[in-house]
Amino acid sequence: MQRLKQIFFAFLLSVLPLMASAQIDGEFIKPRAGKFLLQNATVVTITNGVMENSSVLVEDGKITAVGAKISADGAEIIDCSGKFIYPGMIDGGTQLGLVEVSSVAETVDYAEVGDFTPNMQALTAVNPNSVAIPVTRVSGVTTVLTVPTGGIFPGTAALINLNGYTPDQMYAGFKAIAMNFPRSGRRGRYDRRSDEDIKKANEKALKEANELWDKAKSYAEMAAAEAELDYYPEMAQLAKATTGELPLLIEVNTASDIKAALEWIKDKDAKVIFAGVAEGWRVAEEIAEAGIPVVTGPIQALPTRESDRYDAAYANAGKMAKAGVKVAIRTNGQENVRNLPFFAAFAAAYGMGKEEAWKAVTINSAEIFGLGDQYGSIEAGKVANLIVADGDPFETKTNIHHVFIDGYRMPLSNRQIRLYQEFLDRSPGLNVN
Amino acid sequence: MRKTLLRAGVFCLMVSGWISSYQVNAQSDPTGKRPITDTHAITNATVFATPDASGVKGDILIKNGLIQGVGANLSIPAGAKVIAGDSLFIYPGFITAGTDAGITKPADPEKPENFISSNPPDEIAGITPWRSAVDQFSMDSKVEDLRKAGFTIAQLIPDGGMIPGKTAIVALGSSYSTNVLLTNTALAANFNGARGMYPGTAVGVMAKFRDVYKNTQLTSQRSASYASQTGLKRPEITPTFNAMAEVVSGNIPVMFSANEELEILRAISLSKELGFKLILTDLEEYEEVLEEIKASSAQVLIKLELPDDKAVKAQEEDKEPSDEVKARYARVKEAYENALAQASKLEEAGIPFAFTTVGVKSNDISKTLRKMIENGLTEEMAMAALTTNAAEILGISKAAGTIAKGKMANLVLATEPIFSEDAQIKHVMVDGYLFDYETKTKKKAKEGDSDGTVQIAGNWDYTSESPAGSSSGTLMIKKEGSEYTGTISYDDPSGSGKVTSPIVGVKLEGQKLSFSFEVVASGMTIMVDVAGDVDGSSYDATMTVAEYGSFPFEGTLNPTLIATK
Repeated sequence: MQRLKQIFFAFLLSVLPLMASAQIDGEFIKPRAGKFLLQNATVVTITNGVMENSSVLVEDGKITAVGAKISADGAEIIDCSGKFIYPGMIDGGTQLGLVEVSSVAETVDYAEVGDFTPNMQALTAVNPNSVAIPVTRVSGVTTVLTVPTGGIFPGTAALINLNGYTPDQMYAGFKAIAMNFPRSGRRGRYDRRSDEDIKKANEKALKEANELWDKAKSYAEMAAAEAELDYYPEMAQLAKATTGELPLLIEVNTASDIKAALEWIKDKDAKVIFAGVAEGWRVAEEIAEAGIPVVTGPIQALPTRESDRYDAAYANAGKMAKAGVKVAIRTNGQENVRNLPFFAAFAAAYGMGKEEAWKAVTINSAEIFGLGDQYGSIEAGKVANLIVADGDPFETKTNIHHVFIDGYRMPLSNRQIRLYQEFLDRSPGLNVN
Repeated sequence: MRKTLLRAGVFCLMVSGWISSYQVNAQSDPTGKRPITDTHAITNATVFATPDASGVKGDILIKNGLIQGVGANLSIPAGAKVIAGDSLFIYPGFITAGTDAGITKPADPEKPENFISSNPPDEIAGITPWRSAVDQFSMDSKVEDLRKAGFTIAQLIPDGGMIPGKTAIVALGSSYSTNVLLTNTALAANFNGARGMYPGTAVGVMAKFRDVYKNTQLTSQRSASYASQTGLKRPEITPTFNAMAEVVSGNIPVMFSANEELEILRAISLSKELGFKLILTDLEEYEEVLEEIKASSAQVLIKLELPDDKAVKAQEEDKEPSDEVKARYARVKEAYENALAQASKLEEAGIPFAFTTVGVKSNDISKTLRKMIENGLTEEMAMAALTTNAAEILGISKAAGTIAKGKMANLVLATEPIFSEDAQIKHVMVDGYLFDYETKTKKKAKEGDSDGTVQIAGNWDYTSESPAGSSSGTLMIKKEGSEYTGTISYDDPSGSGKVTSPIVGVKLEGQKLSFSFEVVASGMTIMVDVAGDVDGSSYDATMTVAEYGSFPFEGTLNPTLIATK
């Protein structure tokens, strides 16, 4: 941060005579592609341990070499002495890019009206110019899954890289159909329904879910038999989940619901990922046995039950990982996705361990999303999503110095930084006397 | 806006005459309730294609809301939803020529300041021929009950005064189509006077009807000459005259609601005098005027309802009646038996008829039909009244009434021949859309019970579902000699807590237990009828709340609280 400031001030002084007009060419630094050699860093590869005094070569958007002695002609050399290179972090579940200001309905695009809208593509709604994206990048998060919310099948989630001018440029190659598994519990103190009504409502919701699934299944079968089918985009989309063409991302949180969801998926040919899983630690064995990967979070949360220990939510991810569940971490955030490293840090501190927590925000997510060969670690051949930091990014005091996404060197400016610089050392300042 | 659209749509339909080509429904559906295919194949079922046909084993192919083929070994296209019909009996979808299901009466208009009760404005006096039943209609639970009873097409009768408005014909189909087949099919009329204003009596109603009719004729003539000549007094154009013009010109008939003989004769005389086409509807007592009906060549719709046998049953209680009482009893019994046999007399007289279900409980329909057949109506005629005759009277024979290629896919799929005691409707297809209903497997009487009856005495905990939410309570049944009495507790509808009412008319026939009780809600007394099957300690029944439809009612015998007498 300090260094950034210095750079910025040097830059500011050089353009001071021109500052009379508001917008100046060159004032805004854009992402740029190229051939970069990041030299002499400690490379935390995630999959192949930590490599001291090593370099990483980036060209054509890919990592082409990782090792001790790499030289490259024509590469822009970035000295990373004393710094650490990590793979960019992946947030396994957010609404980033789908919401600009939560309290302004016109800018909230993550929920479509209707119970059954699996054909709503989060990707088409992503705003590449959202101010929340640069804010997220400087924290070291380079890739997020952006998930629609709403009814029982609210839409199709998409994995995006936080770089690009159009949603298609951002798309990172993974989609999943989101499902909100019917909740059986009381929805809080305001929920004044009788136990029986809750049970009935849950049974009804489950029945509806089953009916929709069965319909989609027969839709898929008919489509395969080349039957004449009416235009029915919702069914056509859910049909892809019934055949396993697209995975099913099931939001499920309480222990009893997780059990019900495990039961529900038994006779279905779906590729399932659980999301949320707040009480996963209570049924970790069953989840592990079923071999269902989970994307859990938010980690910094209150316990689900008043009788739980204060750290139930912090320890949840670690307990599941210990039981053998493949765990990825999500923030479930909208504008505070930047907190992902600190969520992971909590999970690490409360039993998950740093190494496992790092996996949970990198390689595990990549593998759960079927992209283990492209993202989530520093290996030759993978997409160049890298962050260079002067410490462990899980620590709040660590500064991120460079972020590379898709091989682009990203500018480390954002609205917060600009405001900070704008109002620092004002002249005339506020004379309080 | 919606209604405007609907009307515009209906207008287009009317211009094109009939739905000849199927419109592909190119819409998405964010509820997921729309079926994924409208291609169905019912295989190897016993098909009764027309009222006079006997059952033939065969397949039925349905697509685009139409029957594409009936016969043996049809080739079934890929993606057809196959219904195994091996144990099913298939009939054409029933048609009710008049119903009030789903109809909500519009609000009465405000009386003007200078209101004169001897000469009220038309709208306040109940003369609203411009209204359409379509505008008063919504698919509510009563419509669903009607569909559950096998009805696929209904003519809607508007609610209102002496001339409430125009009827319309709708399919009782899914919510994914508009379901309106025809509007302005007939003018509804009745002999009910308005309250506290002219016309307040049947005589007044007839006079007013004449008045409206004749004035419409006059206005029509004047309008015609006014359009072509100068120097004429301008005709009085009112909504009433505009709406009545179609009736006067003979384009549409008048459906006169006439319950009994006198009203029937009045309606016939009005039609003779004024010259409009007449459909007599809601007939309940008509055997004395069969000849007049036949001579009038009016079309006939009888009410699908029979009087109950409570009065006749009550006679059995009286062990030693005097001769005078005996004679009275005999008259009551005779009247009851005549009522049961009335429909068959209509058949004998050679008068084709169909049914209306205005004010009829949908749950009782199958029982009513069975009783009519037991008392002389032929099954063929009963089926014709439900299908072909109704289609004929409604003018939709081209599209409905039988199972044939090219007709609307309206079918009733029953587990047994439809008029047999054990017949249950398993599916109803309307416009190619399939509705499924739960059928109960006939339970054998448990062994160990003497004479095969079930034990019902005791305390039952029950729950019932209604649109107002679920309700529960205790049903207590005591056995006294060969009779049963008891009480039932339920949630107080006009407050909180529980209320207890005595139950009456407890009947146990085999496993069928039925009883009734009265609920007082906001000053009104509502009769609630419960009927269903007892199996061991469970009671699976239907609760019919007068006017409001029917709801599931499930009881369990509480073993710790056997009421002993």
